[in-house]
Amino acid sequence: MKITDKIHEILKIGFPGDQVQVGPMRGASDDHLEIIVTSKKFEGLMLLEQHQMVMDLLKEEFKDALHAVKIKTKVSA
Amino acid sequence: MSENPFKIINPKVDESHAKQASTEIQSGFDEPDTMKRIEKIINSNSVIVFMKGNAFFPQCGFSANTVGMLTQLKADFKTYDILQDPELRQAIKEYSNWPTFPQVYLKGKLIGGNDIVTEMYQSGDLAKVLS
Repeated sequence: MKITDKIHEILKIGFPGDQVQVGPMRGASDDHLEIIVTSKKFEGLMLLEQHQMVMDLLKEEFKDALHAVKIKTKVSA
Repeated sequence: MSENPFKIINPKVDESHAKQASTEIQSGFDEPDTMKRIEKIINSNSVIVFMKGNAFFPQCGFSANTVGMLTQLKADFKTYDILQDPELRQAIKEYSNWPTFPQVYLKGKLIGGNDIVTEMYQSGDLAKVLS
């Protein structure tokens, strides 16, 4: 499975029903990804806490094939 | 009398080395428990960046970007090179629940990695929290 697909799957499980986008980071190698998650769960949370929710789901992947991610979190209306 | 060998050192280089030494903290704390060592480091430096390399020779683009923003804002910050300390490198990921570097701590609290610091820099919040 491609790493982008795998990460997408993991985030979809962590954020069921929410909009999750995963793609390669421009100008970087395959182990660098860009992630956008739009969720109601982020409401009222600090940016750090929002990113931590995403990072937490990817912890195991960082031990293995994933090197870096660029995260953008949005609160869904 | 032979010439002083130190004369050959370009004073500019010398200056930057002195600056580097004052910015980068070494393992420093004589604390066998890594988690306690982390606590001591973040609590005794008001702004500290755990990064790959140091402010003058960053070893990763994200770390370079973060110290670039802090430097631009003339923040009084310290850096810690996690590449020199594999034990702390692993432990701080657990400590902060944050698996990547750089990690920026302000007054003992994680404010985030490069993405968050970049967003705060762009919104002006970084300058605010640093002042």
